[in-house]
This record gives sequence, structure tokens and C-alpha cells, in this order.
Amino acid sequence: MIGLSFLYFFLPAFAAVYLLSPKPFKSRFVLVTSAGMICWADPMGLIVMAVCILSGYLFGVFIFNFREKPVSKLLLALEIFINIAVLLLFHRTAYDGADLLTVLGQRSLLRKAATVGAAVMPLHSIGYCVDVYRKKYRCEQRFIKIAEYIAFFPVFAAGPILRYDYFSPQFDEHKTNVSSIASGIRLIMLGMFMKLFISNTMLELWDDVRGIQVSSLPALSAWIGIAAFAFFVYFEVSAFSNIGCGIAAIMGFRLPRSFREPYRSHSFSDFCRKFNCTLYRWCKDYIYRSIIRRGSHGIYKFLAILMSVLAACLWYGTSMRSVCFALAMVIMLCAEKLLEVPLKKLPKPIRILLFVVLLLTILPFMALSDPFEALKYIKAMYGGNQIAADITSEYLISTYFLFVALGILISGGVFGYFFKKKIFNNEYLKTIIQPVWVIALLIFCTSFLVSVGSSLFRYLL
Amino acid sequence: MKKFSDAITVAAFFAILLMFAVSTLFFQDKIPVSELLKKNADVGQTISEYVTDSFPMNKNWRSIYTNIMVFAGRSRFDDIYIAGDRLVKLDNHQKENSMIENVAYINELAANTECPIYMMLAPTAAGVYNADIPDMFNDKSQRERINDAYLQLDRRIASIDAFYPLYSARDEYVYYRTENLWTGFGAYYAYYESTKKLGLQAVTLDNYDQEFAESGFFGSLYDSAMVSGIKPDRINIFRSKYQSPVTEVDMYDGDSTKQAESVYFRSALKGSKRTDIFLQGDKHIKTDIYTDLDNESELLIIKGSFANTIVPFYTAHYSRITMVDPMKLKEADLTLSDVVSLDDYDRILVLFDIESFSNLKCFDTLK
Repeated sequence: MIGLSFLYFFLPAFAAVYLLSPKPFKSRFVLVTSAGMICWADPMGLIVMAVCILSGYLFGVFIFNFREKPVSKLLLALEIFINIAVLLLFHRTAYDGADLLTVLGQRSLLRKAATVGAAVMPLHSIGYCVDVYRKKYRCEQRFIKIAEYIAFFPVFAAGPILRYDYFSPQFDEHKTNVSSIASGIRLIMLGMFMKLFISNTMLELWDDVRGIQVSSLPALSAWIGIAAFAFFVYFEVSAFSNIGCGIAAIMGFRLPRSFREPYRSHSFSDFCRKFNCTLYRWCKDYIYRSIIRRGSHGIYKFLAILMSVLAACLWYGTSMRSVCFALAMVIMLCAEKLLEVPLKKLPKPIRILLFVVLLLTILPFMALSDPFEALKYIKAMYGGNQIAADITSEYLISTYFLFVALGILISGGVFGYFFKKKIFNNEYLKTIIQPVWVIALLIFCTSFLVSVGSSLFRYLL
Repeated sequence: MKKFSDAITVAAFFAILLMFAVSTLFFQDKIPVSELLKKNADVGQTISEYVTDSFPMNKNWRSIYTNIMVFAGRSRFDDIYIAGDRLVKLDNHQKENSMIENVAYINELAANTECPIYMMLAPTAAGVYNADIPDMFNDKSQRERINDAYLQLDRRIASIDAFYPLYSARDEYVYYRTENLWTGFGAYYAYYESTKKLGLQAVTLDNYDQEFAESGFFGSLYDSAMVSGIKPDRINIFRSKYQSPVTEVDMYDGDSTKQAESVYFRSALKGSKRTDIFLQGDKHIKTDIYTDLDNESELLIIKGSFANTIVPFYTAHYSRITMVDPMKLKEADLTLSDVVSLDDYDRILVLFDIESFSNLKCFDTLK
């Protein structure tokens, strides 16, 4: 969902056909586009689409029809099993291309870690069927509506994960206007800027640090490196999420925001709520609450946290690194729960600082595939190599300072603060500024897309 | 007012998109996608590459990108590093193991001939200007890597040190600023050093007239990085003050042989790679250079790109110089014995830059 072909060919062509087509045709067109996008990335992805849509629709109908009978539970279990199998078999880690099959030493089903929606469609399908089972709403009889909800291509890359009850009314409307299109364009440009200018650079910074042997890594470089990785993860996922929301806005859909300044969290539980909120809500509704309902004992709560965090981490890719990081997160969440009272007494800035330091401390488990290497990296971060800084640290700071500073400002919500406080509230100024900054970003992003075209395919979400 | 602003945003955005899309599709003279698809089966990637290559004002966009990044503090673009006033291609250590393999092939070549064999591994600009490059891109110096390679050579192979003379002359114009090659000056310093080992009397610079064949070109490193603020390069040709000894140059391509009368090919100055003025660069499998010297001493050079600039200096000493490019041999599925007979030569010189020598996988053709 990024590249010159996407921006200059797909986007205008799609927008033109979608906006000009009559209302009944729009859903079919979205579905065909989803299939086309999957085919473009990897035709094997069509299996994911077909399985998720069919299982979601059929099991939804069956569960609803047998809702008062015990068999509905079995049907739901089957639906969940099928979709989890699809998720595990087809979802590849964008960061290193790993999936369950490669972890097991087998060949991946997909040729490359491209956008086929394998991380999103199973979640949509499961969420819809669980809600029908819980009698939250009736099953949908119109196949096309369920198909469009499950295979809604703008959210393929990085969400947001949609809820059917949220999506359904908008689907019926399919209503768009100039304001919505302009808002979509702004989101797409912002997403591209985040991906091209910050995320890509943060990944290069992380690669530079990874190029240094861990045993000789100075503490400062280690902290810079892991901070870069943290920014990379945030900006990469949030960029694609913004682009997805932007496309949806052009189509007239208003999707929920997935990120709310997560690195300004004051605790790990707060971080979970703010980092990919829609995924958090999905895990909370369909995993955490399902387990908690079985009993209020502490062990159930622990199990609920463990399973939810594990699922959320595995959503970013099925690999050992996700499991290790999930375990570290669970330890932190439990420790936080135990120390809840003394922690609350600390001033908020101290709590934020403490959280950031602890998050960066456990992040090497996500960044590095070998947990032992991650431990060595953490040791280096705390001066275990007896080197505080060297000339390389100086090079890293001088080269990447602006990018890191921008990353801090954006992820810290400084720009959001200005908008909230309505600092740019002059109507006349806004009228001029808005088109100008969109075009400036377009020029900026085009220059990046032309220049780094080939390296965009290095890591694909 | 907001509606007006939104309308302008939408109209301007899509107008720009359409303008460039139409221009990319209809007004750029590029190879058709169908042709590209024959080379690469991945449709998505091929189309993306086609769009990127055909995008209007490609160079200007890349220049904007580089300038933004340089302004933001970046000094490395993939494997190109801005080292002061020059662009340097960074070493690729990933394939270092093939150096041991390649040395073994050279040893095998020496074992199969009675002819004296010499080896010159030249440093690239990344090796000579390593003080300007951060240590993280320089984990093992080229000097060490060259010495490692020399230590593994058979005793019969004499090594020629090109590092020291080039390093000593690093403040002079010994490497191009925008091309990953040494200049005529750099080649001369290496030639001068080599004559000591080859038992020749070096021709001093005052015997040459210096000609600026090209005084404002940007090389391939510049084309890749598009960094503004780097001065253009010049190509110096050293012409003998006396008559050139070269009488004929034969270039063999596998199925045809071309002839010329000089080692300098000015037609290359009109092409994209200006440094091909020296013996047309790396285009030929074998190049024979005949001179009017009657000492009948003949030199075989197993060559990399760096050899093209140094060979004109050797023409003052040999009646025939044959250059064979193992990479071209590999492409044509030939071996060294298919194109030359080692017994015909008095000396063999293996001449590569350390980077190419470490990474190339074509030395099995020397069997």
C-alpha cells in the first residue's frame, strides 16, 4: 500500500471508479479490489480471503440459527479454529518474513511478507461470529456485506481492526463528500510521510546499530538503537494504519484511530490501551473477557492477561521473538499490578520516564530473533560492555538526531497538542495552509518514493 | 471556507497525480513493460520498477530526496558514503569468504604455469580515505584485507603493494570523487610501484603530456546518490611526449574481434560511462595491445576494472599486453585456456581492486 504505482495509479483510478459508480455497485467493486490487491501481492492470499469470508458468513448464519442450542458453541469453536489456523499459516512477520511454517522449518505458503490481509481478515471473521454467538446483533443475511466487512482492503496492512456493529451502518450509507475525501488525502500523506521519512530511517538506524557486534556495543549506541527500533515499530504500523484510514475516508468510511501517543503512557497497561487500540479492544473483548468469564480467581486473570498479550504480540508476526516479548510484557504487567499503589504515588512524568525505560529494556526481545542475544543487548544497554559511548555513538547522534527528534515530537503528541489547542485556528490561514501542506507532502513523498523505490520492498507489511 | 479549502486540496492533489501518471505512461521513452517482464517474472515488482524508472523528472526527484536527507544530517545512501568532498562506495563484508576461494584459484593458476606471476590488489577510495568513514562501516581495513590475501598466496606469486603509494598520495587526485575507480594519477602511482617488482624502469611523469579528456563529468556514484555539492570529476590522459608505442588494439567479444589503433576511446566520452575511454572499460573478454617495441616481452593481465587505467603505462615496456576479464569469461561460459595460452607470455599480472576481488565469483574460469 505504498509506492509510486499505488499513489499515482491505483489511488486515482480506484477513487474515480468508486466515487462514480452507483451505490449497489460500490460493495462489489471494493470486494474485487480487495481480491485484486491480494492477487497482486500473492495469489495464495485468495485462499485466506475465501476461507475467512465463507467461514464468517456461513458460521454466522449457522450460529444465529442454532443460537439456543449447544451446537452453536461447537460451531463457534470450529469457526475460531479455522480462522486461527489461517492466521498462523498465512500471516508472515513483516519485519523478517518469518511465519509459523518457517519457525517449524517448513516452506512458507506465501512467497513474500506482503499485504494479503492474513492478519486482519481472520480477526474480523472471528469477531463477527463471537458477537453473533453472544447475541450482540443478528447475523447478516447479505453475503456481500459480510464479504466487504471481512475483506475491507484499506485495513489489510495494519488495521485498524474493525467491529461489525461499528462498520455496518457506514456500509449501508456508502456516503462520501469533498470534506471526507480531503481528510482521506491528508491521512494518506501523513501516513506516507511517517513511513518514508521516519520509519524507514529508524530502521536504517537500527540496522546500523545491529551492524556493530553486541559484545563491543557502547551503552549509548545500544539505547539509541533500541529507541530507533521502538520508533520504527510505532511509525511503521501507525503509518499503514493512517494510509488505510485515509483510503477508507475517501470511500466515505470513518474508521477508528489505532494509536493515541503510546510512548507517552504512564504504565504498561496504559501502553496496551494506546498502542493499536483496535487490536487491544479485540483482544480484550474476545480473549480476555472470554477467559475472565470462566472464573474470578487470580489464575484466570493471569491466564487472561497472558493469552491476550500473547495474541496481540503474535498479531505482529508468528515468531519466537513475539513469544519472548509477550512473556516480558506479561511479567511487566504483573509487576505493575503488584506495585500499583507505590507506583501511583509517583509524579506522572517520573512514571512516564520509568515506563519508557522499562519498555526499551524489554524491547530487544522483539527486535532480536535470538533471546540470548537480546539478553546480551540489554547487558550492553546497561554498560555491561564497559563502554559508555564511542565515536560511532557520536556518528549516530549527528546523523539521526533530526529524525529521532521528530519521532519524539510526533509520537509524544506535540503536533496533536497544537491542533487540540487550536493554535492554527485562523480560518483564512487554514484555508491556505491545508492544501499547501498536502501538496508539499506529496512532493516530499514522491521524491522519497522515486529514490527509495527498490528498498521499499525490503520489509513489507 | 473549509469546504473551499478541501475542494482545492482534492482538486490539486488528483490533478498532480493524473498529470504525472499520464506523463509516466505516455511521454517517457523507456523499455516497454512486456520486455521487462521477460527478464523478471514478478509482475508486481517489474511494474513498480518500471513506474519508478519512467517517472518524469526522475533525477530531479532523487536530487530533492538526497538534499533533504543531507540537510537532515544523513551522509550514507545505501552503500555510498559522503566522505568530505567525495563519494565513496562502502566495503561489502558480507561476501568476504569468497576472497579465500579466489586466492586459491590464483594459486592454482600459478601451479599450472612456469611463467612468473604477480598480483596487485589495489585499495578502493573507501580504503585510502577510511579515516573519513565511521568505524562501523569499516570493521576491517582494506590494508589488512589485502595483507591477508597476500599472506595466503603461493610463494611463486609476487605481491605488489599498491596501498602504500596510494595512501601516501591521498591528498592528490588519485581517486575520482564520483566514480569508484582510481584516476590516471592513482594508476600511475601503482604502476610506478609495480615496476620495481616487475623489473622495469618506470617512465617518469615528465615524459608524458597531460591531457584533460573530460573536465566536468559525474560518475556512477553520483548517479546513484545524486548528492549536490560534490565537484565534478576530470579524466586525465597521459600521452607520451614521444610517439605512442601502441600499433594495434584487438578486442575479442566471443564471436567477433574489433580493432583499434589507440588505448583511448574518445567515443566513450559521449556515453554514460566516461571512464570507458580507457580501453572501453570492461566490455571485452580479451583485449590484445600490440606495440612497436621489439623486446618481445609479453604480459598477460587477469584484470578487474582498475586495470584499464593502468595498462596505458605498461605499453611502454611490452611488445604485447593481453588483458583477460574473468567476469566476461564467466558470462560467455569460457575458461582462460579457451582464449589464451599461458606459455605465450613472459609474465602474468593479476590486477584487481580488493573489493571486487573479495566479492567476485568468477575466478574458477582461470582453470
